[in-house]
Amino acid sequence: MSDKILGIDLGTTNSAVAVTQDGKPVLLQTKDGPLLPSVFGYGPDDQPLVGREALNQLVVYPERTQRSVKRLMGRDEALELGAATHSPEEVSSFILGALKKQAEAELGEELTRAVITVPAYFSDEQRRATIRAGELAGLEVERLLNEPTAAALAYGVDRCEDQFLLVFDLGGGTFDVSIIEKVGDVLEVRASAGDNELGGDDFDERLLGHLIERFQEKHPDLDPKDHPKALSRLRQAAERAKIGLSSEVTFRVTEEFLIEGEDGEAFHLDVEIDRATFVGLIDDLLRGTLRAIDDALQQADLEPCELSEVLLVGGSTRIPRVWELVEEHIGI
Amino acid sequence: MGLFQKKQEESASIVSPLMHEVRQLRHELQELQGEFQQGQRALARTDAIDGLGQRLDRRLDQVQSAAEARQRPELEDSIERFRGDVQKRLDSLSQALLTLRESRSAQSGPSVGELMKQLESRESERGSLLRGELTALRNWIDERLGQNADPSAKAKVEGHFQRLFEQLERSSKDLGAQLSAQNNSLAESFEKSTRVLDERIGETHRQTSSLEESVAELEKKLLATTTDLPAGLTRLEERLESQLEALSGLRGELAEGALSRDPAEVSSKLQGIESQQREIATTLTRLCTGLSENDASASLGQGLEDLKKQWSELQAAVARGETLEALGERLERLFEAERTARSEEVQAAQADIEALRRGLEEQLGELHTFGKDEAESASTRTESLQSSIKSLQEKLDGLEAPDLTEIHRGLEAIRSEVEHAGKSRLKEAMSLQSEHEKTRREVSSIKADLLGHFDQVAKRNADAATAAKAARQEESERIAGILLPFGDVLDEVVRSALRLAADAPTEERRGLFRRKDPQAAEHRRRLGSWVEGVRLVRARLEKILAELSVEPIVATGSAFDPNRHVAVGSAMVDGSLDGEVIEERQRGYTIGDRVLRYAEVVVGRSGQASASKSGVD
Repeated sequence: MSDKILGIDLGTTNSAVAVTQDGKPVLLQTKDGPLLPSVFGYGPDDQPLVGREALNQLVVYPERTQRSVKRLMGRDEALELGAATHSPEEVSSFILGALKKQAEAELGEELTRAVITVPAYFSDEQRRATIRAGELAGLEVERLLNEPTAAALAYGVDRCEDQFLLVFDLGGGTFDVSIIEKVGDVLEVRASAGDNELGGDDFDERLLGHLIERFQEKHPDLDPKDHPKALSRLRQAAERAKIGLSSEVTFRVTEEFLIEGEDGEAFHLDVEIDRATFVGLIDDLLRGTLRAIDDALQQADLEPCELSEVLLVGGSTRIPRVWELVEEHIGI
Repeated sequence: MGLFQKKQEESASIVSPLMHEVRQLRHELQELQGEFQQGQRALARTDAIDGLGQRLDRRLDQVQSAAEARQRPELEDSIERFRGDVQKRLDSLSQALLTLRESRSAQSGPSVGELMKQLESRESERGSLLRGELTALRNWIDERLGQNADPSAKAKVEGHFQRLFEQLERSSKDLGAQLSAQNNSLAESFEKSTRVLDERIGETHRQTSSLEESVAELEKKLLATTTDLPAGLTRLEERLESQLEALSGLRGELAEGALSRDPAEVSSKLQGIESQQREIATTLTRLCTGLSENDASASLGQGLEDLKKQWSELQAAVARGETLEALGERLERLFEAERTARSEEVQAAQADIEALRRGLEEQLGELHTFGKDEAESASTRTESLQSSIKSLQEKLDGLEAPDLTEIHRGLEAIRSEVEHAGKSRLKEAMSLQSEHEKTRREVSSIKADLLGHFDQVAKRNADAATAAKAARQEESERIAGILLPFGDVLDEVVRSALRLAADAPTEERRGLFRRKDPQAAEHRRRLGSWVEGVRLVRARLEKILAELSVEPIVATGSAFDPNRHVAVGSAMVDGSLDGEVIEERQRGYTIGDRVLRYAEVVVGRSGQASASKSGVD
């Protein structure tokens, strides 16, 4: 039994667990690396699977695999997974239990206390469901922490004077904007807005569509969508291109022997994408995020100039165009 | 790898001189301890005797000088003190001898038993160790024989073992008997040494008594000299002085002619002198009688006899009217003779004292020699015991590689050494042994420290090795990450080429007729050969990956395993293939026991199974 308290980010797509060591937060490794896919299911032999293994069977056994359970939290719903039936909070508890177990393995001691983050917009019912999920996993939930507040704390904002901050969180599958007011030592979420279905995956889709178009420019008679293997390769290539274009101005996508024709002829893809093209592809999605900023400011009854700081959180905020747009829009 | 070896060598090069130094220091410490103990023991024996000798010397010097200065009362006192001192010293010496004897008899007895017990327990320990070794060996051989299943060989070996065990038992028993005989002989030698010690103590007592007697005698002589004689002589002297005065007064009166005026007055004066002279004569007679009774004053008595005789002559001379001067001269001569006699008496007393002193010195010399011999023999025996213990220890150490004959030979040697060492030195052997044990403990603690140090080094090396392994695996993963896409592309190339080769026409069609097209056949053969080359390249890549511990995951035909496969699609199949991987889209790889890349697979599902998923997204 330890007095250490786990910090758990129970995300829609992925989850993570950390502890403070020597006053600093340290992210712990799970069996799938730092991020554990927030997926649960029963395997071919009805064995429970959490994380990557559950994700691996999603395509073939969707009827006994559950992803994005966070979106269902607080709902009175029975999820049928194979022969079993679980509530959303039970499924969440399996993910929390796996995180607890892996943190214990990593630190070599029993851990029973946790702080879990929830989106700022979570209702009381959704929050209560999250606490129940923690309890089912054998955790004493010391506190629920708003995700933007956690971000603000992580960036050390609590050391500054009283102020308003904007947290812009663009993750893999969700997008949230929150306005936080700091008064003394208290951080309070004043407003939140966003899009539950927007994230880096959407940018990948746009790039995939672009790659298919470029392929068809040369081979109008062929549609990669008819070739699952080719489509899979292109989707991976699109993600690589997205990541590459955050640091490089151009990125070359080369997929040899992508499609094989009826007569055995091989068709290849060899194209170069520049950053401007990519930005053009996702421009409308990014502009949508700006509207969420406006919504949040309106809710909080604030002018952009009243914000003293903007925090960009989430993997997709690595895209340079996101910084530029947010900076232009808010004017700081 | 070279770095770790180097580190290990470095550690070893540091540790080995340290070990050497420790051994050297141990050795030096042992030597110093031995020397110190010997010195202490020798000192303990000789110190008391030396101190006594010095005090005796001083006392004798005092006695002599006191005698020379004729300070009789002081001399008397000194002699009394000296006597008391000698008595006290002798008492304490004999007491010390008694204590020594008692302590020896109190300590040596149990020590012998203890040592014997230790020897026995060591022997039994050794025996059980040997038996353990033999049993282990036997088990091992049994195991081997069990494997070989050769009953005759097994029986033979068992026979050997039986004999070996019997031999061991016999030698254990023999050893026990020898040990008990040894014990008896040790007890005897102890008794003998105790008797010798008793005799020594008795002798010392006798010497003490004779010394006491001599002192008493001397005292008596001195007392005789110092009491009667001086008092009598002093009185005599006084009377002679007054006589001389009376005579000189008479002579003066005679010279002045006073006597001629009254002859009656002169006559009465002469009668007075005469009566005084008679008195002196009586005193001398009495003194003579007293002296003649004393042996030591025989010569003095003789002198006084002479004096008496001369006094009678003097009386006769006075009666004859001799001059008073002649009488005075005679008296002076007599006095001088008495003085000489008295001086001779003192010299005789001095000679006696000298003789006594020489006797004491001789005894002291003997005591010195005795103490010195004692210390020397203790040191010699200690050394021999030390070497015995050392060889015993070496043999005990050598036990790790048990050899029956070697051990028995060693035991024989130990036994004979113990016999030589003797009973009275067992106590010292015990203390040496305990010191040796202490040293051994220290050495083993140092050894433990060193082992701890080695463990740390080993742990550090192990940590470094683990880190290096992790780094290697990381590097392998990085390289594999670069190589895997090439493999994927080569797979596509092979697949595509095989299809091209299969589809290539081999016949030419002309109207209703078909005939072989030799060119097409040749083309197809060449294509086949080219594809084979690409496959070899692919195989080579797989071999490179294997060298990085990257192994392909076999997917097609096996049951879908979410721990190794990622489903990218499903296909309708009949029931028998439900849940089976029917196509591998991309090969998966493992590195060690970890999945490096999941195999992308298409999984078969039968209609029945698929039906259950209706209604689920």
